[in-house]
Amino acid sequence: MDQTDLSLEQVLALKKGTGSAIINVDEPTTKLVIFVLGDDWFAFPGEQIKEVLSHNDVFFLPGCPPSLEGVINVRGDIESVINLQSTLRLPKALPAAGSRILLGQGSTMRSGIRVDRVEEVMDVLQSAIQPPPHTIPEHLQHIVVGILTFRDRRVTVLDLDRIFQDYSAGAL
Amino acid sequence: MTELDSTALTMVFFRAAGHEIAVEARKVAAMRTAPEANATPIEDLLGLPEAEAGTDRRWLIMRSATGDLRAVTVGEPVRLDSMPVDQIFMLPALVQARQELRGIVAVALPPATSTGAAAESVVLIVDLDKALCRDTQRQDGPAIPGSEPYHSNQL
Repeated sequence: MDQTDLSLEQVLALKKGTGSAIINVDEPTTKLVIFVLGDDWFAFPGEQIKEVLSHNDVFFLPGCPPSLEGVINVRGDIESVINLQSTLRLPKALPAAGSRILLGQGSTMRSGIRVDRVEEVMDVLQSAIQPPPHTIPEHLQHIVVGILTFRDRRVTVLDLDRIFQDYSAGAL
Repeated sequence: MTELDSTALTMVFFRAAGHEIAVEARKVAAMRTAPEANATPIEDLLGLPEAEAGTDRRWLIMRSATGDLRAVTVGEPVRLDSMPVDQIFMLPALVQARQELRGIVAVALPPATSTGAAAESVVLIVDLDKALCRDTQRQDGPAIPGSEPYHSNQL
């Protein structure tokens, strides 16, 4: 490799020897919050996630669907909490100890979103996100924006805004 | 600190289907310990499960925005108390969208107790006028029990 083509970032990545892909800093990237639900890996765009909470004190509200766990107190304000596994109708897994609540912000509303664990927060090349396959279940097609491979796993990138809209309308 | 932070509302608290409910005290005309004719269980008005048989009940005479009076039965204990407005929260958007109970307009999150223990549950803040209004707007739904004005000369 011609040394004149290298950037400092590339040199340091080479020296680190992690084997991770060298990112061309001129190529657009997007931040993703990668999380796990059961055996499946998903991601939200980073700008849609404001905070990761380790809250467990969820106050139940009667009259709500089972996927709406209740509300939590976040620094003096209350936020709803939806269980994403239940919302997406994924196969039920045993409750994960140490689950996390992502505080998600859509264009017009926000809510907590229960996930099993947060795996990574990272920048990925936009070119690494591929269009969603046709095999995605019908009820998820509207909310899936793409897929990528991370640590040899398929990660499904979701649009939180569409999730909130569909949830509000009762479509999820 | 805003002007609202030092304000409190006087509320009447009671129980229904295992939950603590609060209504503005100014909308409660009276409380009775003896049965009132044509009183409607609060559980029916809100869409909650029926009260268990044998639970202690009280009768509240509720005043609507139009001045009509309605008798409702509620679960004990009933108390009059002040609620600081900083404990009152609007329903989050997703809850508003998917909530199936009638008349729930806000929730209150009581502070931790003096021993530091967190509050165990929220208080549901109810507007019975909205509970009745929501149902009369439905074209195919049944009439809400107790939607007829209550007439009593015992107040």
